[in-house]
Order: sequence, then C-alpha cells, then structure tokens
Amino acid sequence: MIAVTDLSKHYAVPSRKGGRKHLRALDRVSFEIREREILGIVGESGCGKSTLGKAMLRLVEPTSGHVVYQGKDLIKLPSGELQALRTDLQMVFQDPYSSLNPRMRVGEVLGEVLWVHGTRGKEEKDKRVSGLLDMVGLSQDHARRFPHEFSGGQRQRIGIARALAVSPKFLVLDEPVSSLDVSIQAQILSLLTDLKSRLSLTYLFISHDLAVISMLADRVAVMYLGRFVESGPVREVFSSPLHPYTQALISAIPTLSDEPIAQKAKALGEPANPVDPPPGCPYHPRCPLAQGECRIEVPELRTHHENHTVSCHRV
Amino acid sequence: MSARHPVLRNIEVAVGGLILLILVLVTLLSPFITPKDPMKAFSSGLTDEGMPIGPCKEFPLGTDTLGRDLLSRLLAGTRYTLLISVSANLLALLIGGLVGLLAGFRKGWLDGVLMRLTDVMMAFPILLLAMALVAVLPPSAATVIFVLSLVMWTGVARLVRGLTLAESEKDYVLAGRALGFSDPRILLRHILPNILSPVVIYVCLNVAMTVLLEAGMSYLGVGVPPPAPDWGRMIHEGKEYFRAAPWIVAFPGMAIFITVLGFNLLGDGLRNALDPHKRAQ
Repeated sequence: MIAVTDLSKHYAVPSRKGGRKHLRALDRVSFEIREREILGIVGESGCGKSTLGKAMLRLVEPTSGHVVYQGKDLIKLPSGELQALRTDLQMVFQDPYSSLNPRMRVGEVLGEVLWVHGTRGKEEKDKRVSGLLDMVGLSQDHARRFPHEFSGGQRQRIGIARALAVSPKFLVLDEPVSSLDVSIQAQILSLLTDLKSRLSLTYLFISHDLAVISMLADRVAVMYLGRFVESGPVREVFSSPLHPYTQALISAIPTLSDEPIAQKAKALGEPANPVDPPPGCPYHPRCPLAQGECRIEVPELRTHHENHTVSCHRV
Repeated sequence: MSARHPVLRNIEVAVGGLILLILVLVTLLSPFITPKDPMKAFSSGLTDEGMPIGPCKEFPLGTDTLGRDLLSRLLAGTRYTLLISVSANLLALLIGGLVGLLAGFRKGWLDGVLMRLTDVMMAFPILLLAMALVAVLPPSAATVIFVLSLVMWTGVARLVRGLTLAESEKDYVLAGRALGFSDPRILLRHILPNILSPVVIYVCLNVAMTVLLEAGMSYLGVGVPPPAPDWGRMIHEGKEYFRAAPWIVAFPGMAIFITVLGFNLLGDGLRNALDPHKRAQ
C-alpha cells in the first residue's frame, strides 16, 4: 500500500567547535506497509519513531527518500497534488492536550474539517459530526464542549474522530495511548482495533510499549538511533528476537515474576548521542556481543529468513 | 456566564478601565464640557504684570502664559493624547502583527530578513529618530502618529513572532496541515486566536509608554504643532514659569500620570486575570 525507501531526516545542529553537525533523526529507513495491516514501530524515546511518522506524511520535510502511495512519490509531489492525497493519510498525535485547538468547541473542530472538504450545509454537517462522535464512542452533546472539559482518553477519541472526518485509508498513530492511564489505554486500543476492521484501515502504530505492540501489530520494526535494527512478524520477533537490542528490550519488560529486576536491565547505560553517533554499529557501546568489526563497519539491514530482517554483524 | 465576567472582577482591570472610560468620555464630550474656549487668550487671565494667574473661581486650574483657561485646555487635550497614542499603537499592531506572524510562520530566510530589519529599527535612538523624521515631514498629528508607530511596531513584531513560532509547533497545527487546511486558515483561525491575549496586554502597556513618548516629543517641540492643547506642549510652554506658576506644569503632568496609570493598570490587570495559573489561586 505504501512503500518507504531510504527516508532520512537530518537536522543541522551547531557544534561546539563552530560549524555544523547533522543530527540523523531518521537515517535511510525503508519498509512497506500492506493493505489493512498494523505495522508497529518500537524504540526508546529519541530514536526517531515520531519523526518517521511525521516525515512520511510530510508534516516534517524529509531530507531525502521516497514515500510511494498509489504510484506517486509523496516527497516529490507539488503541494497542490499532495493536498488531494493527504486526506487518505492521517495522523493521531501523542499529546491529547496540544493536539486540539483549546479555543474551538469539539463540534467546531470536526465541523471545520468537514467544511474545508466540501460539506457546506449546516444540517448535513451536524449529522456527520454526530456520526463521527458516535463512531468514537462520544455522545452528541459533547459537540458543544471545549477540549479542556474532557479527560485525556476522551480527548484522544476527539483526535481520532478528527482524523476520521476525511475518511482516511491509513493512520499514523503516534503513541496514541502513552499519556493515558492503563485502564483508559485498553479502551482506546479496543476502539482502534474496532475502527480498523469496520473501516478497513491500515495503521502505522508507533509506541515504546512492547506489550501494546505485541497485542496489536501484525509486523513490528525496532528502531535505534534513527535506523531499523530488526523487523519481522510480531510473534516471531517477540518469541525469537535476533538483534541484541531487541533481546534487551524484551527482557526489560517488567513482569510479575520473582526475577530480580536488575538482571532484566541488560541494555547497559544510555543510548548514544545521535549528533555524535559511535563509529560502526550505533549499538556497539551497549552491546554485549560487540567485537572488532562492530566498531568499524555499520551493519546493513539484511533478510535473515523469510520476512525477518536484522542489522547485526553477529547474527 | 455570570453577571460580572471574571476579568472584570480583577480590581486593576476595573480601576484602569474606569480611568480610561472617563478619559474616553472626556474626549467625546470635550466640545460641550469645556467651560471656556481652550484657544482663547483672556485679558482677565493675566495679572497686570502679564503673569498667569493661579487657580481661582473664574479659572479653576488657573491660566497659562497667554491667559488661556488651563482646565479647558486640559480637557480638550485629552483627545490628542488618547487619539495619537491609541492610533499609533493600532498601526504598530497591524505592522508588527503582520511581520511577526509571517516571520514566525514561514521561518527560514523570510524570518531572517524581517527580524534583522526589526533589529535595525530597534537600534535607532527613539527620540532622535522622531526628531529627524519630524524635521522632514510636515508637522501634524498624523506625522506624530506615523513616527510613534514606526517606533512601536518592532516590539509587537518580536512578541508575535515568538508566540507564532511556539504555537506553530503544537500538534493541532500539524493536524491542520495533515487535514489539508490552507496556510491562511491555520494562521488566522488557529494560531492567531491562541496568541491574542498576550499581544493585547503588551499593546495596552505600550500605549502607556506611547503617552509618555508623545508628551516627550511635544515637550521637545517635535510633537503636535501649536496652538493645539497637547499636554506635553503645555508643560513645554509652562516650564519657563515653573517657579512663579507651577500649576501650568503640574496639572498636565498629573493628567499624563493618570492616563499612563490607567493603561498600565489595565494591561497588568489583564495579564493577571488572563493568566490561567494566577486565576486558579
């Protein structure tokens, strides 16, 4: 459905010596999303997963790469043509507070989207607004309220309704439940799975929560310092992870067993500074398996078997 | 909504607003409420030695050096102060607002060019610039308004740019982009309403400063040309007689003080009343 090739986003940052360095928030990422699947993206904060979602929709302008949708490269498209395709590709944001205009009532938020896309009659607009509210589990009289009158979970429902107002086919879900209570998370996740099957949607689901990804996604990609280090079917990646980073992430999931937590935290130290990434494999300073070549050569992402890819010299 | 809006319950807003309301009323009614003709030099307004006379029954605030009624001139002068300061700031708001919105929203080279231009404008010494311009342009109230707005727009531009930059990073703006909203729609319907209240407060405080600046210009003789009863000019005309007739300087000074106080109270009060952190207490 969507093919992403070599998508990169570099930010120029002034270095201490003067001059500029490049922060590679996203470094030559390639993948495909198939119709009606959920691709999960996991990684620590700062690994570039949000940038990936925003760069795909050109909400941040990527430095290079291609995003091909319906035979057209979104990155090269002039803005007029891009606007026409944009309605197919929408985004749900992480922060349910800053993602809604605080000065507009919910009905106005949804009504504006409908108006911009051609629904002009008041009656028809009102009907569709209440249809959207109903779809995300809110009631009609919520349309008259302001965002600050809602809880985080309800706000997230409004954000979802806004994205659905243009009848998209593909949604980037950027940590849609990370800022919510666990009990509310479950409600929103079940709403999202429900909507996916009802409206035949395709999701790119970004999260740092492996449990959420394992429940929802069909395939998963693990990101580290702006690159994919491993990707494959979610069951396989979680049951037999290949990359030492994936292994460390999975073993660090807190469980209710007796195992001391210290032993689980195998990923040593903090992630490297993305402005000054270590030479060779970016993960080598934290990797228990690191050897000579890991410090010199960057491993390419290669197919290990079938759909399971990994970028590691030692696997 | 209650009978009294929460902003009006703020004591500073109430007092400042009341002062300004009175000043506006004086401006509107000044042709009817001035007891005497503010331009007329009364022969009874000077002593036999030709000196101005102090407050008395006939001239409640005394007379000036030409024997004109000070109270009437003071009331008539309200119009100049208020109209000049407010319209200069509205003009500054328009220019600075446009520059700031464009710079903050477009970013990149346009931001660079507009902000360097703003920096250059800010580097000019205000009064020197005003005097230089007045020397070139015909002396009139319009010139004074133009000069003052030229000085005041830079601050507005900087403030609006900063607010716009911060606001356009927010996710609801990104969502608007993803939903295919046009740039003018995002800028005017989404960003502008959300940055408006700090701008209104800033402009309010700026008007107070402009009142002083305008008086300063008139005092230096580069303001509204005579015989207009401008407060700054009245002080200028009375300064030679300060020892013998201090009222000529004191009453316009007091009028300026009250006007500045009114705008400052309103601005500060609005800031406090609209600040959600302070309102919560």
